[in-house]
Amino acid sequence: MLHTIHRRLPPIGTGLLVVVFLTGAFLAGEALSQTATMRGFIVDDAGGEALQGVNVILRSPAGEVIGTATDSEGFYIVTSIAPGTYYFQASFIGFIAETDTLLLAPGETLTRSIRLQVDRTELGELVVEAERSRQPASVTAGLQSVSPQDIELIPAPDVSADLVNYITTMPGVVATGDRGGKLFIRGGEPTQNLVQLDGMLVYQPFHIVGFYSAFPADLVRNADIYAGGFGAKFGGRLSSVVDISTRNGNKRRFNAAATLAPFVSSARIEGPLARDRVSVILSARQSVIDQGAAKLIDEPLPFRFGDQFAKIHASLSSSSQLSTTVIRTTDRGVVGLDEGTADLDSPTTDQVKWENLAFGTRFIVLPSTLPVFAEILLSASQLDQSFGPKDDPVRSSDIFMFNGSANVTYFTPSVDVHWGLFLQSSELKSNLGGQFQNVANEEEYVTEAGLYAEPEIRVTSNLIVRPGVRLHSFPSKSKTFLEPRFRIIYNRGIHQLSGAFGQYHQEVVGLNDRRDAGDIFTAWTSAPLGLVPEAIHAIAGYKLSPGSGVDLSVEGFWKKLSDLSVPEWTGFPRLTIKVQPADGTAYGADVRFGIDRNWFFGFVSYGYSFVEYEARGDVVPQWFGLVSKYSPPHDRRHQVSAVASVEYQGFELSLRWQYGSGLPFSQSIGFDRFILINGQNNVREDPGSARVLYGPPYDGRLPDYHRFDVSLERAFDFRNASLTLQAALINAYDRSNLFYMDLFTLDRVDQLPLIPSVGIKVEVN
Amino acid sequence: MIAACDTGVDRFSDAESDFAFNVSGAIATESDTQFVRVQRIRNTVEPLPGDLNAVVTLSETNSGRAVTMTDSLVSLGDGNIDHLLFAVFDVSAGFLYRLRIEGTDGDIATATTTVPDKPSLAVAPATVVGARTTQAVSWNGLTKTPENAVVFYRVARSEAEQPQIVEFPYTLRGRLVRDGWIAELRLSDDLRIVRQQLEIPQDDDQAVFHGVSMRLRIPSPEWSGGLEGRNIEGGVGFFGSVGVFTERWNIGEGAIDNLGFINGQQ
Repeated sequence: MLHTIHRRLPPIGTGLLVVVFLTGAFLAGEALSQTATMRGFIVDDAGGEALQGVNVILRSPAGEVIGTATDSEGFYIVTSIAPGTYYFQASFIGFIAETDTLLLAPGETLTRSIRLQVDRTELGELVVEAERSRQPASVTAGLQSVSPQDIELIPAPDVSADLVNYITTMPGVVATGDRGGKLFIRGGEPTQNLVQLDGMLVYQPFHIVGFYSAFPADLVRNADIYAGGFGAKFGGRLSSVVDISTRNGNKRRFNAAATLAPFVSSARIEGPLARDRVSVILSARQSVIDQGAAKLIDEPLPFRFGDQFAKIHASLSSSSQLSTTVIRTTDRGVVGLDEGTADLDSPTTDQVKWENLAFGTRFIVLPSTLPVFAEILLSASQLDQSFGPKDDPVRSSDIFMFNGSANVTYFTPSVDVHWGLFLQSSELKSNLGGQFQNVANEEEYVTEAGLYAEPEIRVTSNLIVRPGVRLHSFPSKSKTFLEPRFRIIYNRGIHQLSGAFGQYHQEVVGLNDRRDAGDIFTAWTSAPLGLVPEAIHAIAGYKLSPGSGVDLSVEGFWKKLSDLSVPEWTGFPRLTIKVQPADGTAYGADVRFGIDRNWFFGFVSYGYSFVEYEARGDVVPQWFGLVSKYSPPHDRRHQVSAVASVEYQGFELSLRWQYGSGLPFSQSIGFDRFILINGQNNVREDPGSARVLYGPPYDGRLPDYHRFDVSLERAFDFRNASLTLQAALINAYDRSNLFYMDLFTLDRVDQLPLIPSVGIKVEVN
Repeated sequence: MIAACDTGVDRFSDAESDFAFNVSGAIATESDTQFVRVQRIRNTVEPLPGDLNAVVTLSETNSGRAVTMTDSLVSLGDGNIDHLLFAVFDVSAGFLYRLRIEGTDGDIATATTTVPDKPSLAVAPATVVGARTTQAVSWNGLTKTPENAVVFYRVARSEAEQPQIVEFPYTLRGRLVRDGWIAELRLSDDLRIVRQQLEIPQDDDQAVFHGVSMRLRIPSPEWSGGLEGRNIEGGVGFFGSVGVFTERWNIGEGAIDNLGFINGQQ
């Protein structure tokens, strides 16, 4: 039974929750005082980078073994250890195991952080990296974890791999094309995705050219992509979460890398500010598409983007860390029919432009006597967006948000209690130039605050359940919601069953003119019409892992969307939009199969998805009778992705084929000349103006989309440097994939044609 | 997979469409000839009017009086041509009229409009305050501001000359009240301007005031309602009506004298 509270909870309600958890923590603490706890961080000795998946075991003299594995932070904790002597081992494939004999006293909390050294005597390091990280067909209750090794397998137009290329191979992820920077995940809209980098929100991180985001592979340590059903830690978005952790940088020695390619050139440098304690990593990328790739294909590509990233990470002690991350992205370009004649430097060219700036600090601490992992996050995120001439835009939308949050995990023998608090304050400014009829140009302040609790209960050795609740308050709408969340994972041998459920609300929303694929301007605003959009997700999945390196996953999902704000459908083109409320349903299923061998890696996935909106306005029924349900323009029904990577004699050949069935668009029922009748009955002279008349909303389908990309890469290692050469063919069989078409003139804009590309990367250690 | 190789786009909907015609026009009480434009919804952007192949009938529903409108091709301001249909047909206030377009292929579009009722006029006596003379004019029964309101003054330079007409816009000078729409005529101000326009000296007492009248153009309710400006069954466009009502009245002799005119009102 879902509970929705449409008023603020009285203080006693909030207090009660806190009391419940503190009491639970106290009782658990009492139990733990008779046992010992061991914890710490495990990092790569070569550079200090966190190692995920390290096996940590404690073996008693009697042969009893208890253990755990490190998470993406490299953190491990073993609780409820009976006092005594233990043989300790931390092992990870490809690294020399750390062993010791420990004497643990009652009530002791031993913090032991470890640096593992690479074992160069048995296996090649690269092979090991691949073996331990690549699980592309592995999805658990909507969650897929992506490593940099996964990302680098996907062919890209240059040697710098990018997270977005991996995301777009996932079933259920729809991109409107290779331009625009919009991703629709399992029926949700781009502005319903929560994208976090080291805990700070990045509003529009996907670049205007679809091969790129603000997340190049060599900055990413791990990305958790929740296509839905995400836990209580996350909120304020309806569709999905992309939670990215970046590398900390090398704490032992400086290294640098630079790439040069027709799409993007980049540079990165990292190294110690204080050996083994403080590191810095700096990265910058800048597109050269309008100069490089455009000349290769002899077509204008009026897009420019870039990103800059900086992070300082400090290991303050064996039980505390502090990091500060800054990211800035810039994008601008002309999308649609004017691409062919656009001059981005002309003061009269209408162009869309956006700039993200985010700054965040993260403090991690392991309190000395408690089995607790705690983090405190402070961040500020800003997005400035405009459309029109570059110096005199006709529309603009700016948003600035401050976020403060704390996340705590309290570890007990059978339950890990995750809980946290958050407070966010956003300032939204918009000048929409009248584009939205019923959304005023204004300055708004939106505050969101709340807390969550989500115990992870290991019911048996095979069964984990994670019930949660998130209290999310939207004071500006005078609404508070108690959002239930639930995840369950059941493992039995090679089989895994998983499920997730959750309720979500989003007050700060993005409005687009979805009638026009070429209009990628997004107006960020407080949810109009006095509504707070809501989503309910349900996911059920099955995973089969019959052998090492083979995975098969099947997952179904269902999302119910309420109180969305969508552009009102109109019977003929209008320059302005009227926003109207709508509800929606999205459901589907996907199948993934992957094989990983030393020399071969590949996966194939198929996704079916159905998305339907029901607008509550009366315009469509008045034109077409009872029709009020329609497929929104991102309702891609069928998707296939196939990726393969082969290594042979130092060469790495990567192949990707993608297929997507056609996206909906509004067809025409004909053309006429519109005459605005005035009281003088001007029909005798007024020529009127030609116009298109639309049929029922989005009842047509564009042609199917498919593309084949291939890249060949070879790395050459020198004493203190390496050189990587790459050649790639994007859209290798030159498919004319439609991006945009004018129903009037039948002028069409296709997505990128066959583009040959070469890239070079130099790394210096 | 054959479909997957196709890169073309079918821009026309397969959905059954009831929209065969675009109809644009409004009938008016002020004219004995009514005009409407009728286009076929076409599958080309450029206006190639072709044959209309339709019979357009305008009828008054109460009496059944009907006329078949005559099709003509008219050259428009931009050089294009289109079908303009016309008929000699009086329309009256308060009556319901139906326009029916029946294509030879069976396509039918219809629209109706009720010509607005004539509001009743109430004129208050002229008010003289110092040198300023005004007069309140009420059109009772109106619920919306008229689309157009004009006051006409008929003035002659002398008894020997023919009166001339000078008009003043009053649409924005009136206001809606509970019973209708009321405007205050600024007689002294307006007539001072009339003298200037007719080159009558302000102190000339030989000018003759022949009368005052007001004309209202009142649009039918279709103008304010309808979906996206469309009220055609089986088509798109707009069909409405306009009631044009003119009333004249006399101003009191004392006020005329105060205004410095000879009273020529009948």
